Amino acid sequence: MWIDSGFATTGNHTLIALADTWNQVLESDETNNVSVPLSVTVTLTNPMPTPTPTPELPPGPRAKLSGITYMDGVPQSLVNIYISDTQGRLIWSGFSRTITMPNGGIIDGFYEAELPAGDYTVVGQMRMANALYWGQIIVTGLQPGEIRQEADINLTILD
Amino acid sequence: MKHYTGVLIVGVIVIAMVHATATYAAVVHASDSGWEQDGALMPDNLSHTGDIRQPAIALSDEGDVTVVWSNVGTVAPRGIFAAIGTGTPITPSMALYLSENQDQDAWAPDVAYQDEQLVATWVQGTFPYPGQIMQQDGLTGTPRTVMSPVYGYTTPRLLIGGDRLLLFFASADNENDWSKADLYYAQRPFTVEDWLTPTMIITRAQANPPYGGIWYPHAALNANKDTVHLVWEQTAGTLTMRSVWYIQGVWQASQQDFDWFPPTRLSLADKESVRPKISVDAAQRVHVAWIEQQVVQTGAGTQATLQYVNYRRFENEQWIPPLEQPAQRLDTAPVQVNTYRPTWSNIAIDARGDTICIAWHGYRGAPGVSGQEEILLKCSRDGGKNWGTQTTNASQTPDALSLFPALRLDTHARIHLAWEEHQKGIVYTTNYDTYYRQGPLPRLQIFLPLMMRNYHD
Repeated sequence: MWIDSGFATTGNHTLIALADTWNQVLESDETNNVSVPLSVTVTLTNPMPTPTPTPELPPGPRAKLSGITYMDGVPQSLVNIYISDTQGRLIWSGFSRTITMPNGGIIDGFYEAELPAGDYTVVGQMRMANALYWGQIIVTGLQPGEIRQEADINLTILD
Repeated sequence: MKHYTGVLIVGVIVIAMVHATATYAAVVHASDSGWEQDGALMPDNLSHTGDIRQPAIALSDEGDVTVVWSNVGTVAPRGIFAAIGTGTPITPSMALYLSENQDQDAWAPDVAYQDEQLVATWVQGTFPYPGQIMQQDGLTGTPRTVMSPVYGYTTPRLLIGGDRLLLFFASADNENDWSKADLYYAQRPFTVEDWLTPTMIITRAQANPPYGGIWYPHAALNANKDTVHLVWEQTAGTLTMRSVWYIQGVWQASQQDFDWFPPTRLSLADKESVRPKISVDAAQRVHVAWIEQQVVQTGAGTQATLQYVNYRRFENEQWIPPLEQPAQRLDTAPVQVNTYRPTWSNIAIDARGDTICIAWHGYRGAPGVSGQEEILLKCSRDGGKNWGTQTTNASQTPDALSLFPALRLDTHARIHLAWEEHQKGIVYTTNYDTYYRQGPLPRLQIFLPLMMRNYHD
């Protein structure tokens, strides 16, 4: 097991492994997916990395980009969304989710990002059982203050 | 002892009576009767490969049955396969290879019979897009390109016109706008080799501007083959409910083109309505069914989506129920679908004479419970006026997912049904085979009043 992000502090930490996080696999027993806690003690501290310069972003009011994440033609929530600019810098990340509309209806797979004006690559990714689903779209010409809908992402299985 | 005379007690006690001779107990909505007890044969596994998608089915006038599906192939990455069934009852053949492109995927097939000639269509390319719509005569004919490229969930629907093949489909302009498809049709006269350039029927946002996309169009011709009836699922922006729309086109021989009426919204504005299907019966009645989704709270912060089968028909120039009223629910009990193979319930419909049958997938149970989908079936024998209270479990495989039915009625009032059947295991996104089942119309349950006279205690 490797923890990419490491630990923020030294000292004692507790690790818990969780299988089938989103309950997407039908099991005869859904209660045995949590491991026993594992205690670890972290003593070493890495040197502080050099901070990455904050990228300069275009001035002006931000735009709102929203869409639905789909899997096999069906809106799907809990998809990881990564939005990068034309230089490959990650500008926004988050999840698609289920939202309730004022009339009581719900929309699955909804995401909304506030972004500076510009062009973007929007990537959606989700693991379903042992398969990785992935999709991307290119968004161009997003204007300051623009509200752009229907930036929908279609996830298909990644071979 | 009390003595009651002249007391007439009329109790309506539910007793199930069936036509012909058989009798069995009435069922409530939550326990659908099995198709087997109506005489349906056991399902056949047509594919045995464990990786099929999207079965479609066609019947010839002679009673032959063809089922096609998309399948990982031995020659192509994903090809189109077929099984042809003949005889009485139908005996299906082994799976036959229909498309032969070795470099591209093929998916979303549809199939029909032009007299005794099998004709098929599918999308071919890099799944899920860009693709090109292909059409082929017979199992071994030369594939013809109908339109290239196409983007989005292009599901071509192939119909046999009076003197030409007709294809109806949705396609977007590019892969970034894949969810914003416009509605098209294409034609190829029987005497011509190549397809004419497809024509756009309406743009994606024409029905419900300014946003939107057209999804999963489905089409049917009237008996004269001069009028086409189309339905589709319409989006209208990220935060707007989906709706079901209808348009009618009348063939103008002088123009070699359709005249299109204005599109009509069939679902109510506040009802999430998806995946419509359409059929036309012998009396030119148009039957439309779709799924209405209703969200219910199941606890603090948790909710479940219930799926109902909605229905309207167009008869004597009017919609029944009228468009300002809610659509008819064919089954008062909803179904649900699971999350480990995300789908929405999907409808199949066919009409023959005055009989209309509708199949859909889903499972019963309290909102939010887990379950495994079955194929459910309901038929009307009087042109859609009455659908009865009974729903039939047509797949009867309670331990496996049964999804995406395709259905045809033959001239002997037998139902031919195909669907995706999961072949067990913990991975639900793959491992499906094509199942085929044949059987009679579900027997009617008739509820008769039981009259008790001169009761003595």
